[in-house]
Amino acid sequence: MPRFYRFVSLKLWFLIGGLVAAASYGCGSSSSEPAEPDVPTVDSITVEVETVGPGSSFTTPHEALVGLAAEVAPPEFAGEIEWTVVDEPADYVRTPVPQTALEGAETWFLVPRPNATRWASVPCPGALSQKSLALEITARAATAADTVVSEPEDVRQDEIDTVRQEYVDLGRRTFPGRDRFEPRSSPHFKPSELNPTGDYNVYWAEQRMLDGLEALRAIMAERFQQAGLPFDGLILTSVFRNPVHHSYHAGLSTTESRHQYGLAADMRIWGHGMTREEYFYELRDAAHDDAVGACFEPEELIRRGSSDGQTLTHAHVDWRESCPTGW
Amino acid sequence: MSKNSCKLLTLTLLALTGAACTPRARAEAEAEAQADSIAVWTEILRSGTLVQRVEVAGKLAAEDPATLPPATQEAVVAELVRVGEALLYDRPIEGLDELDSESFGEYYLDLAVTAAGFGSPEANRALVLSVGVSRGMQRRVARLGDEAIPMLTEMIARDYQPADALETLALAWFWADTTGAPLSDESRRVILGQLTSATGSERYSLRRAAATALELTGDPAFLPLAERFRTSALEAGERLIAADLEADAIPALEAAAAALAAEELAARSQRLLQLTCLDAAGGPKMDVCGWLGEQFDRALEDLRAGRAAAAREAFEAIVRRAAEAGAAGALSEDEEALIAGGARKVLRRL
Repeated sequence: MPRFYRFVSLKLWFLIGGLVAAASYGCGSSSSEPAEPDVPTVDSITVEVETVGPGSSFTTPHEALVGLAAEVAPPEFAGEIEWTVVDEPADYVRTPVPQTALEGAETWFLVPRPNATRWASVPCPGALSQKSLALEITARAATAADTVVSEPEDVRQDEIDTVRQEYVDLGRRTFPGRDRFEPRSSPHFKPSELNPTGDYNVYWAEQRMLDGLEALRAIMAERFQQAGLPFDGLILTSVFRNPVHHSYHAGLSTTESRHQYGLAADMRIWGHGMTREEYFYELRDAAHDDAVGACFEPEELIRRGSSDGQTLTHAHVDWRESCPTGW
Repeated sequence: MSKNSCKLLTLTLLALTGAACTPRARAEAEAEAQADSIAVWTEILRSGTLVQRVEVAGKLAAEDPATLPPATQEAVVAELVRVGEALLYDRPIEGLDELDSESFGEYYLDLAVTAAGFGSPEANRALVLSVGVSRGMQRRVARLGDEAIPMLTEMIARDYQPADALETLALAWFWADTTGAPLSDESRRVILGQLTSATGSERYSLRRAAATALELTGDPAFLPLAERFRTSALEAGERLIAADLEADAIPALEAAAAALAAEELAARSQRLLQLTCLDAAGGPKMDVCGWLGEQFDRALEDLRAGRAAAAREAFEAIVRRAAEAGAAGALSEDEEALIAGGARKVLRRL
């Protein structure tokens, strides 16, 4: 969305101030003095910044284009405009700035790629000001007699583009569209369950995972009911993980975990009134149902991955793209 | 679209196409870069550290498996077999201690699901050790028929994905019955043995899987075994197993029985008898097998000829003799349940 700022030149303010002062202090007689020759001046400059993403947001190197437009009054000074792009000073992120000179009433630049190692020091959950890229842009028009500078205009990544930037910076194979982070939930799984990390308010939950989780829950609920056992629902321990949380906060070495793509859920297997094995095998059986259509991590892999190489710690279910289901 | 949006779109297009002279040149450059990457990943999968292999397996899994070059497919299959066998035979896996708690599981899933996408005979054979991943994986392996049975049996014996191996055996039975795909008597004998022993196993994983596996066979001749298993599960307080049998397996097998003519149902029970008797090498079991086999032949002949009363008499004799053999120890309790129970099911239809 474009934003406009109008800033009237200092010289015009001085002129207005001078007229007021003359009226107050009786300097009207100065009109008898000979008039100075007219020097052309810039009255105002209006800046418009437009990005590919909504809300003046962007990602880089995709969607990194920032369009700049300035309107100057009077318009004959449009060719005199110079742009200044600096790292937005109020946040904690060092955003790289374009190295080329930007001139003219209409121009554009590409936001350079940031240093990806910055993510290693971002705390969990961290504030947006510690994560999002932001630049401050001003336009300047100058004549021999006058200089006018626009109000600074910020271009800053919003929360969705900030988390999308993680996928680029951490070299993930898939770069999600903004629509992936539209709010999604299902009757039995609230956003707080689907997004337990707290790094962002937005999260990625694919519809097929939500449908699969609902189907899994329904099968489990029915089984427990048939057996006359209480069912407390599925307890999700980890669902969406943004790449920075996955790699740095959780310290996990896989780069393509389906948790980052809204396609995987870990579940608690203890505390259900039966042994871990019994609950795990109930989940396994339900996850293999065609209505769920999931990939399930076999018991042996979970045990091998545990700290002692033996404990069945959790159940992992995912809905990865090519998980074989039918015949 | 506003005037400025139009300008921005134009600029975007200019910026995007600026990297290469023409769209074709750009596509070629991208394809070349991709091929280079896949070639590098393939080499890492063959000879990299486990940490490196975990990373490239994730990248390969993001590609369309069918488009991966033969050398890459070969490397994925080889690695899947290597890791699977290490798990099956409890061999150490170099570099495993350098991985975090989740990465090894992700790695294995990436390899297995990627290999499943190849569809080649070699890849499908490699999936035997991955039947725990999904029902689809089990089905893929079940279609291998005789070829897969020994390894699946070994997996059960070694307690490696035993529940999934058992279910896959049941699916192999189902696949052969419904499509006419070959499955040898020896394989069927092994499957029958695994299913019956699983219902009485000390391992919960196997007992739980047995309830589902009986349903997956789709063979109503297993109905008496399922009913007997439900009773024993209830006695053992295993309510989830009993409930699954009650709600799913038994109704499904009853429906399958109802869909068959009495003659076909009897033939299914006779088949189980023949398989049961394959390992009878002399002694009381051989005697009872011989007698029961003849009686089944007679009963089926009477059924085909429409002599219902004679057929009834023959099936009643089968029930009595199987019970006697069970009491005398010539047949196991499960064998007795299958044979006598099967004859009773036919009797109800007469």
